[in-house]
Amino acid sequence: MTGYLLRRALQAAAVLLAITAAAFGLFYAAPSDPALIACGPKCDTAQVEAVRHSMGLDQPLTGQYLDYLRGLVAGRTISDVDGSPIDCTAPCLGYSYTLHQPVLDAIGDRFPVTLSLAGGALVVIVVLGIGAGFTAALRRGTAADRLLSGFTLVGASVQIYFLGYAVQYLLVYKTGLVPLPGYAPLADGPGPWAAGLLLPWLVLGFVNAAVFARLTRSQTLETMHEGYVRTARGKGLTALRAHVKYTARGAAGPLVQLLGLEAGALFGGAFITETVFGLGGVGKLAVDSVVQNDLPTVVGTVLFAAFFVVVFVALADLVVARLDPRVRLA
Amino acid sequence: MTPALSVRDLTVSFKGRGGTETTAVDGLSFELERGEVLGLVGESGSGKSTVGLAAMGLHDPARTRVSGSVLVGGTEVVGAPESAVRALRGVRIAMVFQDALAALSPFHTVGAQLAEAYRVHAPAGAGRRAEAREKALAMLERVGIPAARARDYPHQFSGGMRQRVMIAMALVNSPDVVIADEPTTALDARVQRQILELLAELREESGTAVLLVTHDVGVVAGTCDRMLVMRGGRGLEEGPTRKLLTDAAHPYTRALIGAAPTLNTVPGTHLPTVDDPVRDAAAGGAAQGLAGAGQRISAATASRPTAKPGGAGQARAVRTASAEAPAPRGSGPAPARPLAEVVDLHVEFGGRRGLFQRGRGRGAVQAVRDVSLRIDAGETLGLVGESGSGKSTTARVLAGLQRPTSGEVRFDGRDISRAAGDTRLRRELSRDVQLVFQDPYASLNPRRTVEEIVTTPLRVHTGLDKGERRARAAELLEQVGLRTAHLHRYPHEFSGGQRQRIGIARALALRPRLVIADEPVSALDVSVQAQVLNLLMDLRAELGLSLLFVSHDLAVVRHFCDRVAVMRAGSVVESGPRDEVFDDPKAPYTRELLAATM
Repeated sequence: MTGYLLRRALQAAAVLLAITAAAFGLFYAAPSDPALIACGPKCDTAQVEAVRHSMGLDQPLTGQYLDYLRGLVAGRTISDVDGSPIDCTAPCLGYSYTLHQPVLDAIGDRFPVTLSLAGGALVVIVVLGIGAGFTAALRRGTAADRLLSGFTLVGASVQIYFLGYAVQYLLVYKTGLVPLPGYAPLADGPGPWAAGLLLPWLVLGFVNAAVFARLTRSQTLETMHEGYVRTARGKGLTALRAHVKYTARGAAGPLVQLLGLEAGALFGGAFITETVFGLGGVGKLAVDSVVQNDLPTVVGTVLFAAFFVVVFVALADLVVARLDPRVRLA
Repeated sequence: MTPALSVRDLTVSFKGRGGTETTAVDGLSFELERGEVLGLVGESGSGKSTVGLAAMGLHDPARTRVSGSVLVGGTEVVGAPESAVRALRGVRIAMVFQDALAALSPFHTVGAQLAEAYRVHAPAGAGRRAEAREKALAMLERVGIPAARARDYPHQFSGGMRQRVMIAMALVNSPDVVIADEPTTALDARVQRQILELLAELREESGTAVLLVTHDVGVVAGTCDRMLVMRGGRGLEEGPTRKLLTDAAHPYTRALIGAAPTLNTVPGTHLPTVDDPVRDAAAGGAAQGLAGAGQRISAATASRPTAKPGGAGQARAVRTASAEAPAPRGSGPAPARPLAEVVDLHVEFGGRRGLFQRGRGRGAVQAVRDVSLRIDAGETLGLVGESGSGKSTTARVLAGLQRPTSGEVRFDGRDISRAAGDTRLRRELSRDVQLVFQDPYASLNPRRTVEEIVTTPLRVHTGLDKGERRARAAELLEQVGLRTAHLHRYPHEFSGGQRQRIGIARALALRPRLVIADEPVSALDVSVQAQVLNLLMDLRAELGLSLLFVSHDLAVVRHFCDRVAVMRAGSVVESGPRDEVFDDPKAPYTRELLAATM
């Protein structure tokens, strides 16, 4: 087990390393000049060069990359546009000259929003998607099955920005049934926090739940005719109990894997949802930084998102191994 | 006293797509007395398993219509509310399923699954859990599994042990009736015997009546007081087992009993066969001819399909040395050089090997160790052993499909040990060595017509044009007892036996010098098995085939093969001419196997 975790951590580190390299390399290939952007439109050539030097952009690319990696592990000191030192502690994701703060702080400021949004959406996904899929499978061929299947098809085909604006218009502006979406810190009380996030949760959850509902339904249908489910019924268990205890267990593997990927993706930021509902999360930060050629923030957010995917995928593997004793961790 | 199980006019039909209805059981009646063992015998599609599920009330209510009456100890099951049937299940009537690996939950320990079977019906109370656990442990011990293993999962047990768990689970509440549906079919002969003995012992202890559902007359002969033969959903004949075995009234029963070769059948003789009871519309007319397939085979005098220069030129080189015709069977001394042989063969699988670690990796499995075998031209070598003995792996090495870890592999004097990794060598070899597989459902491409399936080897290896290939395919179909009209059909339109004939036709298309048949009849019903064995014997005589016949079934091997090699745990424990091995087995293991063969 310890060996497995160690191997897994090394694997994750390798993946993350490759991603930083790719993000770093790609950004340098782009036709823009971060020094010019950091310095501002009023700078003359000499000033830009000075900024370039203080930002370290005149160093060779490999040197900059190694500096970055060193900062990630041990922290480093970065010089601001004017040459003044900024202390950046490990894990240092660099310093944003656009936002004038370390990238990690920029992400940290926005992460509670993303965390709240993703967490709630995952709950919706599990309850709505997996619940609906399981119910539909158990009532296969009935009106309930058709209704749920149709509903999930809507979810799969509709776009978040359309659905988001539509429900916001109907439920907030037209009828006032739901308060205006927005982020209120959980520390200020769970009421306003949940109220502001209710719509984003439902919309983001619903759209992503569709895939889960369909997968759950097909997995359940496949598993419910397994011999061990029949054996359980042969013992005298009710059909429902046999399905909850045995069918669900058998169907869970791929769902957990997919849920791991989904969680990883959501915790890395949900740009469209954040934009539609005016939430300043990590997704919005990432896209803004790309638009503004804010190299350190781009690499930082990419790395941050990748970190969550890697962690949650590994977590999902552990859960699957826990659910099925035949699975060997290797 | 009321019988343990009483079935009256039971009819079960399944609703299919588009309103069609298939009747699986048609007006069946029988009674199972308390403490009795009744064998319910039939081939696939006879409806025998449906009877068991209907008695348990376990069919899918949305798709199934059940009428008639099933009384479990006097309580009606048919039409009873689910809650009433559930109260019977597991307490008064329990079931042992065929495939214990599939029938046990892979996610729960065997102890937990056993305890649950008891707990479901135990009266609610504080001590219920503890009591169920105790009961489970005691039951495990009773079926010969140490209680300490209750915490293990099904996949950690052998097939026989898993079936013991199933039996323990069925008997934990001492039911009136146990329905055992093919309880030993997936097991090796020796384990099968142990399980049947255990079942008999437990039955005597508990007085539970057993309905033993099986296709295997041998199993019934050894265990059942009475037997009921089913065919096409109907009860055909019922009576004391001994009487039916020796003096059955119905010809089908007689044929069913005689169709499987036993250790007393005269080797090489034609086995009695029965007509296919269910003739599917598509393959319909052919069934008529199947029984007499042997007689209808034309003399195969045609030469090998000619190869155009260049096209299959290399293939020819392989068999330059022994251009002489294979020696006729049974005449003259054995040729100096064997057609195919393996010497000191080792094969190992898997294992985790470090990046810089050489040699055998951790956890590697030695599938074959130190095996030496030879197949002479015109002879049939039977490779026999239990599952996991390495017989299939050895066959795959000879077919050039598996890379040996070490050892020599030769076909016609040529080293073919690298064929598995060498596409060209493998291709050349495939001209002379062809395979017939176990599962005729899995081994034929469902999207290809019979013509495409049979002519593919010709297309790959010969320069014959489409018309010539078709003519050859038609000739082959005739040879295996099918008809030219079948060329344009797809595999799903044929029965299992017919599919196996198609597989044989494909294997023979190139007139190979060696045919490797891996369990070619073990997926077939006994009567169909007899037909295919008859066909193979006819073709062998007619074409002078050399065969490697891999099988777990000693009776079939004895019937079909000239020489026999017995494998166990990767090694050959005994080999020699058929009569020597069967009449005077040297290895204790061979004797054990023979004793377990029913």
